[in-house]
Amino acid sequence: MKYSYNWLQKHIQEKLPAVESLKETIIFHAFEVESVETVGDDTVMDIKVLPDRAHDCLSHYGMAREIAGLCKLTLKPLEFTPLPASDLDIKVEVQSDLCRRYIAIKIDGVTVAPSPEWLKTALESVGQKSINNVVDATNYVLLDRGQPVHAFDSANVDGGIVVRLAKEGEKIITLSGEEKELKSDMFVIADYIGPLAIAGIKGGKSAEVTSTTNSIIVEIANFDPTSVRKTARTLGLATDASKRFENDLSPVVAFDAAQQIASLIQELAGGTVTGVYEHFPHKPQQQSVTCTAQDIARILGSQVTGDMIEEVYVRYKYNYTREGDRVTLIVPYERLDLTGPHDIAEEIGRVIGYDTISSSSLPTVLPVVHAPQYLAVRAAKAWLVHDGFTEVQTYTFAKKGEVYVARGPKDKSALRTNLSDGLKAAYEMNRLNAPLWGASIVKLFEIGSVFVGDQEKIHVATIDEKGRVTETSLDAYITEHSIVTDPVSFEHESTTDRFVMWSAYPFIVRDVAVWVPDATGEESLASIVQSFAHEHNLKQPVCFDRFTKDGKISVAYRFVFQSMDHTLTEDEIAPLWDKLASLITQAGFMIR
Amino acid sequence: MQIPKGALHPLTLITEEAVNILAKQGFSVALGPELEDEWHNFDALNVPKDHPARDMQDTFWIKDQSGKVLRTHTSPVQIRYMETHQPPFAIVVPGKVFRNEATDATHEMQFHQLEGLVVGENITVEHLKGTLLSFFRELFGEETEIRLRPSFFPFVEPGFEVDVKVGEKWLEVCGAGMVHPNVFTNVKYDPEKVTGFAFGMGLDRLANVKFGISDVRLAYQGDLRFNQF
Repeated sequence: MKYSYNWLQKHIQEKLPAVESLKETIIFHAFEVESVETVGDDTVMDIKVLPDRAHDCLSHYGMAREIAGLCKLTLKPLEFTPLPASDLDIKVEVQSDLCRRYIAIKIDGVTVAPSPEWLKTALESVGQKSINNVVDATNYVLLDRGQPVHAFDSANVDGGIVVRLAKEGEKIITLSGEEKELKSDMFVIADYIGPLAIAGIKGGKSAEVTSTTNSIIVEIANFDPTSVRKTARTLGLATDASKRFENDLSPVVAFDAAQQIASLIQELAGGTVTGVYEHFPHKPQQQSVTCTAQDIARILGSQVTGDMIEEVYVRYKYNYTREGDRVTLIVPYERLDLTGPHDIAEEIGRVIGYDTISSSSLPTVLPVVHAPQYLAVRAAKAWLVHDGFTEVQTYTFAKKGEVYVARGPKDKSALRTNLSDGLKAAYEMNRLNAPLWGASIVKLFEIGSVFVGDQEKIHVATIDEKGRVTETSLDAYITEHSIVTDPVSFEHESTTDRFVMWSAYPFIVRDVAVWVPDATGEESLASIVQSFAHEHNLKQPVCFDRFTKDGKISVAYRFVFQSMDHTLTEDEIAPLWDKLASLITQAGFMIR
Repeated sequence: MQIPKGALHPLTLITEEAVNILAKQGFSVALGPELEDEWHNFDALNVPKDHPARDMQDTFWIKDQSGKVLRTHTSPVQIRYMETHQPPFAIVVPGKVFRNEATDATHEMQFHQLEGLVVGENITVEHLKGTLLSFFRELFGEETEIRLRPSFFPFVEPGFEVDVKVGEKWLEVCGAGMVHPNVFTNVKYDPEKVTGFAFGMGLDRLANVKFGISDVRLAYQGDLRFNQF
């Protein structure tokens, strides 16, 4: 999620550390920072908040709270005007416990208009488009407090609001103009005519807030995560709202958000709150987690004390009680991730810093007993290499097979039933490239899994220089060749060689055959062609033919020309080739 | 360029080197199937159905075989091993894994991982750090450093990303963490009695760092020019 530095600063009393320093703190104590960008007089950080903290940190307020704890700063308290107690004049009915809380606020007499600059800047800095003051206010509260909020035009809410399951096949046109067909396990916010919104995911066009809206119903609700996620995935929708609900949001958050949105809309669009409805049947129970320094130490290592645990809670202003080394945390409602000592271990560890934990070797070195299949594969590979075969690895996906993957690669969704097909293709490709290394012997093998029927088996497949293919199961191969599987490893010398990328462009082959009078002449010619290749950065030529006739020796060299960055043309090679020819003739040799 | 006269695939070389280094610390190789089931690949590893954590990996589900997948990581073998053995133990699991992702120089639909799991009494983050530091020093050189950053994987708590300093640069190489108590419960170990750490790294990524192989797709083309070592 994108966080605006200036927006975060609004929640913190003291001045935030400079961006670079803040970024370092976040990376080493909380989250990965994917990017930092200057936007006008602001800086925007893209911070990767993973599922374990998505319920409290996918908001500027939540992230500011985390930063306040990490940097020992003061989070400004939230203070909004309390909502009046008047009843909503529209009937609301919540038909399922999968809607864990529903707050509806009616605001009459609003003037929908463009948003003020500060709001446009804030939203645009984090990639959100400005629409109008009312819609922008709802998006602001979502990005600020992490609570999805939706506004309906009251004039288009007919009869009352019902939070219910959709009827199978019921349709809705969303705010972006898409028609969605609903299933009977999907939740909708509806009026007496039909669906107004897909609950927790996206609003519908029918009750959209437009420039002519003058009365709105604002919804601040909380929905079961599994239901939202299933529905969103089935409909192919992913919104800021669905993301927060599917990661589980504490229903407690709705309270602050409701006050905030009411204040904000009245400030931006005028109007008065004329009614409030709330459905909140099951208030979550306050949780607590008790742990001792020993509970944490058995996970992190030996340096954890009761004081350390307490210090972390104090930083975040969490409520806790302490009895010697036992500290009981009253878990803040939004920290759904703190459920046991292992979670507290992470809190303590990341705050004090993992760099403070020392390194130790394992208490004992256990006896090594490798899986028999590993030993067999290793022995077979060594045996084959010894016999001159080179190992390749090809793709498990094939065009045809007996087992298929759903939504796999376009023309290759089957799992291979053999290694031979892939091996043969590799053999052909290597044969064509053989001039690049001046030899034509290509012997390959692969050892890997194949999938036949409902069985996964390890096969060994080989192809020799004549293109003859063998393929058997690993066990059969071991038996057939009486390969001894040795439990002791054979060491390869660790190489410091670096990989050298080859050219992706086509190569051109040129042969030159030369008459030389004797062995001295042969050596001399060799020296000429090798220096020539070296001087012009060419691959070293290979002598591929030699015979004697009438007292003379014919020696033939093959040159391979290839560029790393483009396809070579005849025009580029011709001058080089002419130069080689004249070097050879100047040395007194005759080109055949 | 000489054609190799019989050579192992660079990924095999790096796997064997990694296994041999860890064997000196008492790690034994354990293996598991590429075609896995949902329990081993997800549920037992504390990744329940319909949980956003499942979105962290793009999965190949098997057609017409409900609950079967191509394994998205080598972690299922942790479960298989624990279901059939008792602690203490240290295992290393090399293996091919599959992700339904668009391919480019750093992403392939199939690649290789190396997993490690150590479970016993009194195993802590200190042992994780010590094991990994020693491993990377032997693999990349004595001056290699490591550092841990907070991260999240459903099957560990705390969870870390491990960066390795090779030369002047810090490179993200490995995910790690302390085994989550739910995972122990799922394999019927008592989380009050044992602790453990796990780590997982991409072997293709290690080959990138060690050998400078820049494009992960090259490893699977069957092109002999790849066998340079």
